[in-house]
Amino acid sequence: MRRALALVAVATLALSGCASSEEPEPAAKDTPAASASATSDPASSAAPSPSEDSGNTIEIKIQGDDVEPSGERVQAKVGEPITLHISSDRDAELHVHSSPEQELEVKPGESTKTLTIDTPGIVEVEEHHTETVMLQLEVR
Amino acid sequence: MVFAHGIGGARDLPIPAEFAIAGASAALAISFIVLALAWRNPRYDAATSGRPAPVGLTKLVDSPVFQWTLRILGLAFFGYVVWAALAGPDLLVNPVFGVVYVLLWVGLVPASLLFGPFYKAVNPLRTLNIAFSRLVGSDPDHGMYEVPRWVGYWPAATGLFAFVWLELVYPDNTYLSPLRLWFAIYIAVVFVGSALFGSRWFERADPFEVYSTLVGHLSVFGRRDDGTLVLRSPLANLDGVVPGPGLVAVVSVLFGSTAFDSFKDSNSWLRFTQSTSLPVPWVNTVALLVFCAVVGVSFAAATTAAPPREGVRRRDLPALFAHSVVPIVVGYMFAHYLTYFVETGQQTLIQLSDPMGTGADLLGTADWQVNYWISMHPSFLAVTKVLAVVTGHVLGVIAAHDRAVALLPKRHQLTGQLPLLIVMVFYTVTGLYLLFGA
Repeated sequence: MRRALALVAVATLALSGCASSEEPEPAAKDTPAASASATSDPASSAAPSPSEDSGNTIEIKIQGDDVEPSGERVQAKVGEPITLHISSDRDAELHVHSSPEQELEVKPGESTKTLTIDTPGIVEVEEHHTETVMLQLEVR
Repeated sequence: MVFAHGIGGARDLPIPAEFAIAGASAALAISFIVLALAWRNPRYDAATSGRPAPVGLTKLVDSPVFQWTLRILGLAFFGYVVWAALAGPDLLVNPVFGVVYVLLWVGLVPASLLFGPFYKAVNPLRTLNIAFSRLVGSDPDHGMYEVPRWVGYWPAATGLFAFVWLELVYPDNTYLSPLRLWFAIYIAVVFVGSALFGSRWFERADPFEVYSTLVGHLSVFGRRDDGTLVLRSPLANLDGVVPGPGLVAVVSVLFGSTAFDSFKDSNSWLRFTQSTSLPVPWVNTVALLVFCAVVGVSFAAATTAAPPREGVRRRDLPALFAHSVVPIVVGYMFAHYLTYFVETGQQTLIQLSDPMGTGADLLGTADWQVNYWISMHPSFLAVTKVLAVVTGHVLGVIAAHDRAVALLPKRHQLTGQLPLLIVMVFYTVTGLYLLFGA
């Protein structure tokens, strides 16, 4: 038994050793309030405005009950904006299941929205009407 | 904001592969070390073991004032939540969802680990049964009938399956009417049963009490057969789990459903369910059943592989070993639900101040802020999760070993344990793999 316990202790040390040498802690903000900002383009302008950030850009298509992508896993970084280029033929709501939750209102036409996740985790982006999980953001 | 889809925000990141591998290797190695080096005669006997608790503690715990205080607190909280469920808004800001899926379902694990059979002490239906019996002048402990022996824990296993189905499969589980219907049936079955069979019915049929009492056997508080309150190690206490028909089903549902919960959140399963033309709730129901059945069948096969010593029936072996899965269940539950419990639990405490959604602050918690410290430290979280799973595994293997040397004939004692050991390693490695593949 004692030896078994010693082994647990060794495994513990090994694991915590790994942990400390692993990726650095996310740049800790004291208040992890996530924020969503939206910049809606007029429906007439076909080309979305070029985004100035270097983060992810994801294309989103909503046509009636067809939404794309479906269940795509996307790597993202804590605090780095993710740009969504949305093309939709109807009103839609995107639910962002971050902690705390966020919501994006989508109007018909082309629009660009940015999304920032401030807490690490897997964040699902769900189109409310069809209840389709479009994205799983793996935020580190 | 109104969300149609579940409670709780972000989920945990997958644990890094090297953590999963380290955990799995440790589990494997420790298993065989226990088998090779541990004692050859049973050490645990819950009927007599433990150190009697201090007199003051025994007096307090057994005093009617203490017992009634807990019952009344349980009943008051139950009434408060029923009020929210019946009169509150059908929105996720209603605390009833967090109370059911987080505080009750997940919170009963740490509460029982700390205090023993916690839910039994506060179970509002037990209190209603006592009140009802006083009213009609009957004995709350003895009903009109005895529970037939073959019934065992099957009602609780059924109830637990019904709950995990609601939690994990039923798409509208965060709307009030399905939740009300579920609890109406639960209250009817458990309360009417207690009138017919007496308070023993709770120990067999109330899914939350059965679950809590099982986990409570991993606390340091136990009772000997003569009722003495004792303090003893969780492993010695675990020996006191009362075996019976359906106990294997109970632990299989608990473990299988948690594994299914991890699995259903994986990207491949998500993509499959969103692209298939099959009816998804049915697909998930079948998958949930398969997960629970794989646990139950593999456990029954492994525990009956070797013949027991004389005087023990071979078909009783799975139930006699079932207690050893409890630490594995608890370790995995801890890993799976830790963030959810801490963060959505805080959210629920905040919401509890405003059950009607009117901006009230009835309990003074309304302006609390959720602390996301655990989510902000993913490496710490991953290490904690792996340690929880491995600790649960080690306790399970030791409990199984002690039972094996009590039940198996001398010449089969080592070889007879191998199948169960392999199955336990399979559970643990699968659990770690699912945490890695999240």
